[in-house]
Amino acid sequence: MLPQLEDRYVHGLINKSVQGFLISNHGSDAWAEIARMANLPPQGFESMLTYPDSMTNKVLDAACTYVGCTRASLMEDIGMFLVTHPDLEAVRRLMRFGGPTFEDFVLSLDEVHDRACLAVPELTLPKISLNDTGVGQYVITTQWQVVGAISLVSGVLRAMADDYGALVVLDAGPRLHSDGGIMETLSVFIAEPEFAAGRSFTLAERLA
Amino acid sequence: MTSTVSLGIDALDGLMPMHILIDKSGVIIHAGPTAARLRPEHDLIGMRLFNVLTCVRPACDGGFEDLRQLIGQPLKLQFRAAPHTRLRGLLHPLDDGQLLLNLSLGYSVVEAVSDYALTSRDFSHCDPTVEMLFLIEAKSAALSESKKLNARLDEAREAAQTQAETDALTGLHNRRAMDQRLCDMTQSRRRTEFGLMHLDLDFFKQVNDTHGHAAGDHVLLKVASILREETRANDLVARVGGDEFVLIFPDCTDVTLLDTIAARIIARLEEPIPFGSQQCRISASIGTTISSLYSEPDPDRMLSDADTALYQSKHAGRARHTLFKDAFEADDMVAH
Repeated sequence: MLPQLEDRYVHGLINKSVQGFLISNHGSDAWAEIARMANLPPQGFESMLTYPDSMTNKVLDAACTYVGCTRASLMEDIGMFLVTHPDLEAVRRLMRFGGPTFEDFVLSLDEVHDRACLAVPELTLPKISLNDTGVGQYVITTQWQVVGAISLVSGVLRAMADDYGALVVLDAGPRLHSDGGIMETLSVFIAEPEFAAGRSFTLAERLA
Repeated sequence: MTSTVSLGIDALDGLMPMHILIDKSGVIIHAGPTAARLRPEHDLIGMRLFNVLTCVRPACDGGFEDLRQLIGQPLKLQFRAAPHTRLRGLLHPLDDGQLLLNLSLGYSVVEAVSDYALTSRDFSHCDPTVEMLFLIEAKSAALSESKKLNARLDEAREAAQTQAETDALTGLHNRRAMDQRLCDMTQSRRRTEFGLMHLDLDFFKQVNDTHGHAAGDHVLLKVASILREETRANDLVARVGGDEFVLIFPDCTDVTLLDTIAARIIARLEEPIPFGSQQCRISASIGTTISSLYSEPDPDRMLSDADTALYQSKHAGRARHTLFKDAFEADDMVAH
């Protein structure tokens, strides 16, 4: 089966986030070199356009080569960056809309794909599904056209656990290739829902 | 046949946390947990409904009998006391003569979550309010990204336009920009009077031949800066050929003044231009015409006339300025 049209494109918001992460953590010179390695113009991506997923893969590969890390650790760092960087407070807030507790947040992950589409129809985030495996225990499965979605989710989960003040244990599981894209798994164990004081969140902060 | 269900207050509080129960006499006897967050208890319980809320539509301000007439109608309500939050409501009669009023925040939702510090727990799990708030934030974040993109595109468009109208070597305007300006100034509706000078460098070819193209380019840069210095900010100076320039002086048809300007330009261009150890010497021939000579100024005609005057300067021995005044016919000549 041929992939859906949307599955062969990656939204500029995602590509621009990768670019933003690389500039923020490694500097503009590093970005310029990575862009060169990936045959991209130095100004990189525009956040409101879409790009073929091959471009995203090239940039991620070039970044791994430049930084000297694996795709998984790069994606995990990007995930953490997305919810912790002060310039991206909007992302953290949108994540916090997932629910009042960390467990509610985890349970909202299977809606992330649809929520993103509601806001920006072309923005196709990884499809996430959840399986209960015990009290406070879940297995998360991601399905996306780019390898490393689960590591991205893992980075987001680590950062959001801090945000909620929860203590979690994450364990990467096996990866499968299917017709619908690359499926990756992660087990989540919420050891302590209120381990530390989290950051505050009110619905009204940004709206007023 | 309709089936009936009876629900306890707990169930109502859970299912519709923004409801209010009103007794037979129109007095509020209970508020759901979210409705209770909107007012202090003593401003709600035991108060007459119409002393707390006013019904904006349908207009109704009366007693309990009026209230009963609102049953089943879409209601627009508003708090009498500040914050004057607007609410949507639906009134339903209960068996014992009591009324159930269910409320929602409608478009006041953004203000209300702020005014009353509401949290996601204040909304029923089935109420899409929190999703709506999510969407408002997500849309405004996406919109601000779009605005940034638009700003960048606008900047790029301006830069491209400037580039398209600029001579790459000297940074002066190019022929395209000159054509556009002449076209604008001669359009009947926005017609502006102006002086038009056509300037051709003298002995520039010798500079190129003797001292090389680098010297030629250096001289052209110097010429450009002299022309900029000798003109006003809103005059247009364009390089229209290798060593040809056109100058447009808006609101200036004073031939004496134009002659003075031309003489000053020639004098400055004749000052030797040092390039390395060499001195480059050039001059210029200039031909000028003015828009007030024509009843309907036409850019091509005026450029051609300025060119004619320029060639008169060349023929008369170069390094001089000539005003165009020979070639116009009696029928399109305007007294000057």
